[in-house]
Amino acid sequence: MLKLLHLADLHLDSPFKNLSYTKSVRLRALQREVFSSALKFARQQDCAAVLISGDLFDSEFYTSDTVTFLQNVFAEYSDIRFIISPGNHDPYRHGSPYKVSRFSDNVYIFTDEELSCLVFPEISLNVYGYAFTSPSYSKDPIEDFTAESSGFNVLCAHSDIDSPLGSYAYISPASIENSRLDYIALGHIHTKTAIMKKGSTCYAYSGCIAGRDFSEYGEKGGILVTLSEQNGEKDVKAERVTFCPWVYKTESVSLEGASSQTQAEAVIRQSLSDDRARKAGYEYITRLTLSGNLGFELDEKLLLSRLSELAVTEIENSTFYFPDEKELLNDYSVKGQFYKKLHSLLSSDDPAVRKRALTALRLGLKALSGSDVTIDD
Amino acid sequence: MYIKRLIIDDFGALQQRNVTLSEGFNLITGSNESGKSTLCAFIKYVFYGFNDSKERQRHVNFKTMCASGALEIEFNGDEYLIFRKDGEKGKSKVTVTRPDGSEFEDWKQSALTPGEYFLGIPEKLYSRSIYVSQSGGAAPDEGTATAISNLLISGDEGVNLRKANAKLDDLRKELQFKRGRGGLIHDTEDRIAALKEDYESALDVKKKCESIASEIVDTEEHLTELKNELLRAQTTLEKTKAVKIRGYLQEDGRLRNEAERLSSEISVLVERNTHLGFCPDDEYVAKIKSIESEISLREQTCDGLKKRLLESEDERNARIPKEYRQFLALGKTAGIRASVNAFSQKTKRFLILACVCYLITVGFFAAMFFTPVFIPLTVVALFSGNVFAYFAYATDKKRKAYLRSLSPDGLSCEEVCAACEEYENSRARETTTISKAYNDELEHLAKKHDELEAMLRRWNKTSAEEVKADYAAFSEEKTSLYQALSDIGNALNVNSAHLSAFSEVEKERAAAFTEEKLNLTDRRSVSEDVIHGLKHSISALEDQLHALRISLASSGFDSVDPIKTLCQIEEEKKRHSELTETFDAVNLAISALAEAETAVRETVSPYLSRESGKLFCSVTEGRYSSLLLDPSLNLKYRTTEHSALVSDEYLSGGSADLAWLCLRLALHKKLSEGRAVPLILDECLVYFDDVRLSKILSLLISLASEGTQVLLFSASAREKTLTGEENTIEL
Repeated sequence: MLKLLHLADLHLDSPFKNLSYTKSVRLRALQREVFSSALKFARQQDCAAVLISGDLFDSEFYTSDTVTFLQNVFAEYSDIRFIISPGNHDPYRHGSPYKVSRFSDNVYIFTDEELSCLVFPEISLNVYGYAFTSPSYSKDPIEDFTAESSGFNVLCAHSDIDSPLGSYAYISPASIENSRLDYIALGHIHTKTAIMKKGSTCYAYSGCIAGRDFSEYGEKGGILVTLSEQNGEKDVKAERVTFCPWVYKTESVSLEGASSQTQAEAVIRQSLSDDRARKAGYEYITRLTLSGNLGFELDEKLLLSRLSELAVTEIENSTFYFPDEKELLNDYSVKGQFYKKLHSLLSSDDPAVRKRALTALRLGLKALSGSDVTIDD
Repeated sequence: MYIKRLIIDDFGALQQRNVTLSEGFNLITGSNESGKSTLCAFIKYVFYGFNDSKERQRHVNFKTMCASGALEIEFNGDEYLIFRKDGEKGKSKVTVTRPDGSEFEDWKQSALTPGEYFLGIPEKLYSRSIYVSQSGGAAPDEGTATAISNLLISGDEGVNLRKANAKLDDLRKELQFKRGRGGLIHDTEDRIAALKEDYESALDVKKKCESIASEIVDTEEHLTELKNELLRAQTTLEKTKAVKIRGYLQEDGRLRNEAERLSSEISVLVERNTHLGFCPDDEYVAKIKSIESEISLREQTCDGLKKRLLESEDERNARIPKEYRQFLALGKTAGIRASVNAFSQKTKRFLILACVCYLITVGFFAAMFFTPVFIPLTVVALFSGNVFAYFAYATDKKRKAYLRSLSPDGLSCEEVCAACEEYENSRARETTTISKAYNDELEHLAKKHDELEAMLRRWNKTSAEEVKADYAAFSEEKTSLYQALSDIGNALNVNSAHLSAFSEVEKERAAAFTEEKLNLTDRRSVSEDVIHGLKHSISALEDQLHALRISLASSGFDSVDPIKTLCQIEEEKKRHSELTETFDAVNLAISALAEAETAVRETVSPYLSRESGKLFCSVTEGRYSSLLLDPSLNLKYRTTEHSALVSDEYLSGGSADLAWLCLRLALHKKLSEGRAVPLILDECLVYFDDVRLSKILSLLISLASEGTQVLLFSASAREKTLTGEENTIEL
């Protein structure tokens, strides 16, 4: 029996440019911690090898700290074989961290676009793979290939199997079936997939190891692959495992009827604590989508700062608010007229239009009241 | 709708106070601080509640910290009681009930304040429409003219549209100057551009550093390869040397062993030959040989000497040079000497004779002159003498010629004679010498023979040949051994010379090698030149590597963080987006305000201008016909007399207040369209003269008669005088 840990798309040193630099640094450090957790798991499970199907780095943003971290961690787990197929974000080329950095002897990196094989006779394992040497790869890497070696035959591949016209090493279903590989460890798609099978070949995307933004929501991790052979028959078991302690999630909360900021906050807190989808042990990084008609202007910044302890990092404000609607609609003066001109925009379905109208209304009313209007308004 | 009664429980300084009002005109009078303004505030309080804590603080009862009270109103023919209470903890409670105590459900479900429901006006409009305080009260810092202008332009005396537009425009300029240049948005764009440049340069530095790092890795790999090759070459060379050194050492050992063996054999040989107590050594044999050869020489010498002693005259003469031999054949040297002496004597005689002759000749001539007798004697003597001299000379001349023909080398006779004499003398000496030498030789010879014999006897041999034969055999063997030893010595020297070419360290290393390790797998020929070449290449590569590392260190790679710059760019982009949104909102506000202004000027402003003009004209008894705004939005008054437009600067303060009041009344009229809304005036007629006051009061009474409840609060007695007691409520 042979155990392998299938990981992919770690994108270490992602810039997280939409966050502050401090948060970016913190998240990058957390990414490394998640990877360390994965390796710890691999050791606990006595995995013979860890397959990393591409995008270990996030292109040009890798730092020397991360390289040093990888060098140290690979050396620390010297009993495990690390097999890496460079992907479109970390192609093997001049200046690539794979080229300029030295890793311990238990690290095997595919360096050529041509399919090649790493043979490990001591564990009856043959790992096939190839490398992206540029951000695109236009051919089917295993076209006309059939694995005929004895032992377990595994492919470590960074590929987009859903885009035949794409530039990311498309592997056709026919190629998968003809390959007669035991398992194809796929990378490139960040969403995990179910374990699929074509012919005698099992294949799956492990998904990324940790979400980086709200487009990578849900639980993230890898796949623990168990290969066994009995009476000449090979068996492949694949089990999903998670390492990332945080999960990106989008929550929708209706604030209909809330009459104050405090009340709105209470409704949100209640909603977050009620969410049955939340599992213990995870930190949910939440994007709130707020809706409903409000009788007050929602202070998003204040709300965000108050909800930061619940890991709410973004708010999409889709609420409706018509300030002083009653009195302004009945106001005969320029204020009332001003309000009426903006009223239709305040009712728009487009939150951006509503926001602009609300800002215009606030600025206009403040200016009409004789007060100075500033950027902060 | 009108207010029937004010029921004050607790409000400000008023407690448990009821004030009943009529449907029409009500004059509420009282001295200062009698509660007139408090009543005004109470009415607003019951309708709308407190606006904020400040207002609450101002109007709650100082002792109970509470405010409560009710308004009894009639609305659409029905009576209602609006009760409001604000407790100690700030909780406000308001109820609207019918006279039977039941709650007014319509109001309750409307979720409006009683004021919004019954007056139809939001709280903020209340102060600008129903409630009229002293002129300019809504905009105390603006002045009456401004209030009027605001009313006409915006419909709200507290709203200065021009200033509002200016404020918005200032904000717009702050965000973006005209034509897109300058402003915060532009500054942000500049910052983004600068950050992008920084980012690109940081990326360039990073890429450059990666390139350098890659080159460093390649160079290090190459260097490692070279070092490995050098190590292999050095190992091969070392092994080769070790093989050589070990060979030499082995040879050295072998030679030394051989030398030792030979020395041992020599010792055995010597030992074997020393049983006689004497071992002839080379010196001894050499001495024997020397003696023998000396004997031989001496014998030869003796023979030679003997031969010489016995040699014949001819044999002796044979040793004389040939030239001298001829000479000597003429006779003995003594004869020759005698001849020579005789010649010499003859020569002397001749000379003497010649002298005599000449003396005679001289004497003759002397005598001739003095004695002629002697002349014949003299002549004869002279003649004889000359002839004799001539013969002597001729004979001597012949002898000389003859001797000259015999003398060798052109020597003179004397020399030849001397030479011949010498030969003869030497011959004699020679014989003596030879004899002596011969005897000496014989003597030496005998001694040598004795010595030889002694030496031979010592070796117990009878003959030197035997000694020689023995010695020859011994010597041959010993020589052979010594030769072999010498050869070995030479070989050792050669080997040592080879070994001395290697250092002690090399020799130690060679000794440390095992046979297995010395099995050279690399059979390439490795020389010091190859190693030197490799070292040179390594040195060059190390210099190159050092330069690359310096280049990498000085590139500032560690200080470059493109991600930080990227985050900053995104922050600036967010900021830009926010500013742009604000800019769009400002533009929207400005355009909406412009449209609002147009709408007001098309609807409210003309109405206000017209209605207020009517009231103003009525109150001023036709002096002014209208109030309006010129194209520059400046307030003008049209006079009836000249139909001229007069600037508001020329209006008196009282007239300005009147104009403002007319505008407020016009506004109230506009607001009351379709419903009856009370008009509350609080001390706003104080600046008018009696005439105008009378006019205004007439106007108000007229308004009241048309269905508008008028509540006029005044401390002055003039209103009471003018309106009468029946409308007056004393506080």
